[in-house]
Amino acid sequence: MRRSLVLTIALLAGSAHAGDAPPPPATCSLPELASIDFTTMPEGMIALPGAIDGHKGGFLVDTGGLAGVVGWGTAKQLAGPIQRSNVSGVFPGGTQLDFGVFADRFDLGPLSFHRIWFLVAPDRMMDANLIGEIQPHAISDTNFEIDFLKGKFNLFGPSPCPGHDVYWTHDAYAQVPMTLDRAGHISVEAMLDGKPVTATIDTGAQNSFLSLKAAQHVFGIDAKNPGLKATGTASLNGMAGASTYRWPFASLTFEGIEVRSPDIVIYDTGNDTRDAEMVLGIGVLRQLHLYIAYDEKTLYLSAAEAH
Amino acid sequence: MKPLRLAGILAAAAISGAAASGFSDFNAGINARNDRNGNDVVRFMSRALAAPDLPQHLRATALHDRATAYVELKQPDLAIADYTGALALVPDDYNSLIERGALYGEKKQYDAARADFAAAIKRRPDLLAGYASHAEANLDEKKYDEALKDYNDGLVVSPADPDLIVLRGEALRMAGRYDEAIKDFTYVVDNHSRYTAAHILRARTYQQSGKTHAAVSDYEDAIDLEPDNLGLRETAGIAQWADGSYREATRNFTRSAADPKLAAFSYLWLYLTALKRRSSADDFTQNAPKLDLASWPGPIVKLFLGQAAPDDVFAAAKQGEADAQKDRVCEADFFVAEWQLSRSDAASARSLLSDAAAACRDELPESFISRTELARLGP
Repeated sequence: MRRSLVLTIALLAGSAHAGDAPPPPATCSLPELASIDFTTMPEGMIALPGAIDGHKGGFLVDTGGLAGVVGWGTAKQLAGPIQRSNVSGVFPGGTQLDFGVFADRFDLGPLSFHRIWFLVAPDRMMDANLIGEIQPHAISDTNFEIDFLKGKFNLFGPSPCPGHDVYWTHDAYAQVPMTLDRAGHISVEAMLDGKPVTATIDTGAQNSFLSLKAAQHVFGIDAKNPGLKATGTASLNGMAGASTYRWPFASLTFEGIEVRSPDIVIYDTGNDTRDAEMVLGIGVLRQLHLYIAYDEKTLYLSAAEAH
Repeated sequence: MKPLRLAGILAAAAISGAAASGFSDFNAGINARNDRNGNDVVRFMSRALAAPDLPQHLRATALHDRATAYVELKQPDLAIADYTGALALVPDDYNSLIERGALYGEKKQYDAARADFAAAIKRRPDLLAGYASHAEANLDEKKYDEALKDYNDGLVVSPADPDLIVLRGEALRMAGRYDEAIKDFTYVVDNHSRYTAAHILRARTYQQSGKTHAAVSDYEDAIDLEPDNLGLRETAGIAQWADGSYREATRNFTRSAADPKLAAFSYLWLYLTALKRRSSADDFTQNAPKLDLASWPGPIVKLFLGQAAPDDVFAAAKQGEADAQKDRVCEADFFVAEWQLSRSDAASARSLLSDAAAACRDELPESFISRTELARLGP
């Protein structure tokens, strides 16, 4: 039986950027807006307590997702009408979300937001303990921290001391430049077996994965390669089926971080492009303590158990 | 609080990697769960749950994931214990309620199952799984009216849901309310033309209400939707055989015989079809000896090959666990009756067909096909 994902994370070096950083101010306290206890779902993803127009339930934190998504079952109970969306959302697997609904009020922990647009998704795409999904940055223009060890999702205002935001540990950490697309999705540069790849930080993905087309383009790995092990099929968001494979990748490195023997699912839906990014899912991410500073375009990382 | 240089970082990594913690075991368990490796889930989550430093907020998830792994490993009692532990920590966890309820149902502890499903419905009245599961527990106890109420409750939430309407139709069929069942299936067929199960279940209902030609038509529509479904082809072939469409039946049995799991019965049906067509049974005589004749329905095959007697078939049918015995006796009654018909012994055949018509479960094709044959034989 194949051993389950075992990642050895070695913090190799702080980035040159980090190493050259000036010393921090004597006092640097991030302005905390909220500290919310999250629940950990069976797949390892995290859900925050929230409410849409008073309908309470869990919301998946999905940094790789759409701004706000609510299930049909809940959407139908809202006062506002479900209406065709000006902008459709498309989930991996091809599920298209064409309808949406305005929530007069969206509560996330102690925070409240007004007049928020949610796309409406089939309930089968969501865990039954969830009523929606959020891409937090799209709802709230704040920085946030995910402490998987303590089960805390903390939101912060702009740092008074940019570049010195790590407050939770005296242990090693790294700071990684990140880019954001128009939807707020986070990408960082990484090296996979010595080849440059772009990795999307996706807290809504249970696995890390790469399309077969991309694997073929970047690494010359095709479906006939004897080293490519077929592992069956998987459903993407409960919709499209994909053939899945494993390849014995040896190393995934970021600035300051190496993941040895990364467990990356190679998938083939038959409709993928060679330019697809690698997605870094929750299996890897939950071994880290993350602070996403959108205003600094920087991702701060330490080991999850660093203190 | 600053980024460390290389030496310090490597040292820190070595320290963090040296001692496994409840948290790291929990993460390994999560990854094993996502890799569908049940044994590793049990191993890592057990270690995590035994670790004094596992954060309290992760215990319910650890118990839930271990319970799900126990289900996969066919250890339902351990799974129920873990779901119960998870629910003690998070009483309104919908998934644990549904999954524990299903396990209670498998153990025929229907009151406990219904209690879990009712709690799930209370937790998420907008989701249909709770209604369908509650109904299934009622159906298992043949409480048809209660099951129909469950489906109707779900249809209040989602009035046109095709899955619930099909399930309600099936409950009506099981209750013998064929006209109402056909109405439900027809609604789904008319509004979701590619819903294969609606065609199949309506076909079965037509069969039970004696409308074999309508049944054949529905099965043929279903095959158009799923041409590679060999089990469906065998079922359709039996309906065509009952309807006297022997050429079409031969075509479907020939296809279904390609599936090793279906081959023995498919070749038997090819033989019966050849008898009706008064043609040679070459498919059967050439291929039947190559089948595994030691396992069921091997004794029936041997009967038609002239290598066994009816008593051998009935003796073999009465082996194994009770539910399987009942179905085998049903099959033995029907096929031995057909064998007797092939030897012009109509009186013996009529007796066995009457037994089959009375005793076979509705879900078995021998149930309706025996009645069809009795009608052909006349009084």
